Amino acid sequence: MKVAKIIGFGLGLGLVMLSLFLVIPGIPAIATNPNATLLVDCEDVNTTCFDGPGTSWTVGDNWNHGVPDSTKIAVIPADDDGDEHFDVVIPGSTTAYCKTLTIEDEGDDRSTLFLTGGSTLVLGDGGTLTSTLDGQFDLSVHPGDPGTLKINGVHTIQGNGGVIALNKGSVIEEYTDGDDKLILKATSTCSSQSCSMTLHGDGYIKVNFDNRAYVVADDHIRLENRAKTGTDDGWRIVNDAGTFTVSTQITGASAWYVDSDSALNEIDLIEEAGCVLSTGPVTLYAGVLSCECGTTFCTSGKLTWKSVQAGGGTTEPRIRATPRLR
Amino acid sequence: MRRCFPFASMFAAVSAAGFAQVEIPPGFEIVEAVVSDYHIQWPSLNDCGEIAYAQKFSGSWWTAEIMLYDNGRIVRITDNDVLDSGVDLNNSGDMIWQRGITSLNAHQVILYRDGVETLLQDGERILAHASINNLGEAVWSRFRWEMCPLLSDLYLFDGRKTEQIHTSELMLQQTEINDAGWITWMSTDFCVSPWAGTIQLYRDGIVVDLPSFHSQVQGPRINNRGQIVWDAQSDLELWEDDDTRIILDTVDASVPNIGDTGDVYFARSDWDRGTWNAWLYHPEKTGARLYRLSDDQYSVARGSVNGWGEVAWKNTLDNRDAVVFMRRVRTGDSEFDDDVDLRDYAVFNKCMTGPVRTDGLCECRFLDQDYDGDLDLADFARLQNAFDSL
Repeated sequence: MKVAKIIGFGLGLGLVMLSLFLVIPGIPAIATNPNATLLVDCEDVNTTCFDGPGTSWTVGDNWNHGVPDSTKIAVIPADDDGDEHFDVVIPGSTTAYCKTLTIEDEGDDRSTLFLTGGSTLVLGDGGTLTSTLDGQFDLSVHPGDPGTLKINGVHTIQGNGGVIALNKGSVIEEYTDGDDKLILKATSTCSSQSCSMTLHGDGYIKVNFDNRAYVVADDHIRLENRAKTGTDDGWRIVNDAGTFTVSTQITGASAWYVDSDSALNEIDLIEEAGCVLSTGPVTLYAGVLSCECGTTFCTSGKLTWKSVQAGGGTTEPRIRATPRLR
Repeated sequence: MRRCFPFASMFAAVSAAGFAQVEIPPGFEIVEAVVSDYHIQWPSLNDCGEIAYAQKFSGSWWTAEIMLYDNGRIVRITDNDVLDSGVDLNNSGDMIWQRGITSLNAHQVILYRDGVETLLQDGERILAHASINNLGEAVWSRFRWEMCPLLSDLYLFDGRKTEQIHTSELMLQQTEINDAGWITWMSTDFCVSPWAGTIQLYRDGIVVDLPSFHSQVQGPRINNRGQIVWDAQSDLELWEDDDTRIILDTVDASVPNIGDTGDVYFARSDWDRGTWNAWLYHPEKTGARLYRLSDDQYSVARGSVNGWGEVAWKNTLDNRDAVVFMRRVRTGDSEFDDDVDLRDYAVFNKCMTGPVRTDGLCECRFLDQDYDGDLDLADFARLQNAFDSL
C-alpha cells in the first residue's frame, strides 16, 4: 500500500512538532499603494493608449493608435491629476492581443481591464517581455464563463500594488508550448504585498510560472500542468476559506502561508500528481495541508505549525496524509 | 428632434512651436492651434482651415464638448452634461458626432448644420465612428452584438433619410465616406485567433474586400480621388485603381489619414526619443517624398489632411494636449501659383470684410496676412507690398 510522503520540514514529521512555536511575521493585507507612479505614458513609442470614451477594447476609436495587435504596447492609463481612469472590457468570446500590457494606478485613480467570460487575451509576441500592472486585471466577469490569459513567450508581469483576479475558473495558460513562461514580481525591490503584485481568486495556473510576488488562494487556485517555481520574494497564501490545489511539480523558495481566518483553508496536493520540492518556509495557522496518496511535500524551509487565537476560538491546523484506499 | 445650443467662444493660443529637425514642405508653417490641459480627441480639418475636435474639461468624458477652431478663434459648439465625441467636419461646416447620454458607449448620432443640432439616430446598440462628406451624406455603424458571434449594421444618411445599407456577422467600424458616395470601413473578426481584419469598400451598392498584405488591418481613410489608406500591423497600405501597395513598411507607423491631394499624414515611432512623430507622405511626379513634421518630446496621434495639403494633428505631453496645424504660409498668393498678381487682387476685392472679425473666411483666409480674422486695409497693404506680377 502506498502512502503519501511527507518529507522535509527539517528532518521529518517528528521534528516538525518541535517547530510549532516558531512563527514568522504576519503578512500585510491586500492593499493598493497610494504612491504608485505612472510608469508608462501614452506618449511612448509603439504604444497604443486607451483614451475612450467607450469601454470596449475591440473598438478602434477608443485607442489613440488603433486596436492593439501583437506589435503594440497596450496602455490603459490612470491620471490622478486629471482625475481620470478607464474600465476597459474585452467583450465575451473575443480574442485580444497585445505585445505588452500596462494598467496604471495613480492616486485615487485606478484603471481596470475586464476579461469578459469566454474571452481571451494573448500577452506577448513570443519574446522576453515585461508588462506592468499597477491597476486591476479581472479575468472573467459577467456572464459565467471563464476568461483566459495566454502567455506568448517569457513574460514578466510586474506591479506596484497591481492585482490579477481570477474569477469563475479562469485560466492562465501557455500560448504555444512549454517554453512560454509567466514571471510575477514586484516592480521595485519592495517585498510587502501592498507594493508587489497579487494574483488571487478562482482559477487555474497552467503555464510555467515563476512566482516572485503574491499568489493568494482566497477562493480556489489550481496549480497544474506546467511546473511552478518561485523565489524567496514569492508567497503562496491561503485565506478566506480558500484552497490551493496542487497537481504539478513545484520548486523554489517561495513561502507557503495558511492564514488563521478559516478552518476551511486548505493546501491540497492531488493524488499521484502534486509534488512540492522546495526550500521555502511553511506556516500553518488553520485549516489543512493535505497530501493525497502518491504526492510529495518536501521543503528544507522552516515549518511553523501553530494553533492561534482567531474568530473567538483557537485554530486547529492539521496536516493530513491520505493513503490510497483499495 | 432638433436642439440648439448657445455658443461660447474663446481665442486660441497660436504660437510658433519649436521643431528642431523638422522638415516642412515649402509654403507651409506649423503652429499650435489649440492647447489644453485636458484631453483633446483627434481633429477633423476641412478645406476652409476649420478644425473640429472633441475636448474634455476635466478627467471625465462626461465633460467632453465639441469645439471648432477657425482662423485663430475657438468656438465651443456644445455646452451640456452629456458625452460628445468623435466629430467629423465637412467643407460646408456641417459636423457629425456621437453622443452618449446614458453610457460612455455612445448611442446617438448628431448632425450639426447652421447652428442647429439634429438627432439622426438613437438606439441602445453601441455606435462606432460617424463620418460626413461634403454633400452632407453621413455614415456610421452599430454593433447589434459585441460578443461572439458578432453582428453589425452600417447606416447611411443621404441628406434626407437614414437607411441601413449593410449588415455583417463581423464587427464593422471606422466608417468613412467620400463625395462620390464610396464608403470604406474596417471589418474585424475578433472571434478568431489571431483576430483578423479586412478593409471593405461599398461602391455602387456592392461591398468588396480590399486586398492587403496583412491579416490585421484597421483605420481606413478615403479621399475624393478614391484612394484609401490604412494601418496594416504598423505598415501603411494604400489602395487605388483596384490595387493595394505598401507605402511604408517599416513596421512603426500608425493612424494614417489622406487628403484630396494624395498627401498621407501618419504617426511614426521615434525609437531614439521613445515617442511618436508626425510624418507626411507627399506624392510627387517622380515618386513620393517623406517629410518629418515633428521632432520633439511631444507624441502625436491621429491627424487630418485637407485639399490644400494642410494638416492638423493631435500631440500630447504629460497632461498637455494640443492640436498642431501645418498651414499654408500667407504671402498674398491666394491661389498658390507662386505669384501675387491681379488675380489675387481680385480675390481680395471679393473677400474684403473690413476691420471686423469674421468667421468662416474659408479660402479668403489666405489673404488675412496678419491673422487677425478679417481682411482689412492692413491686409491690403501687405498685399500691395507683396505684389510681384501682373
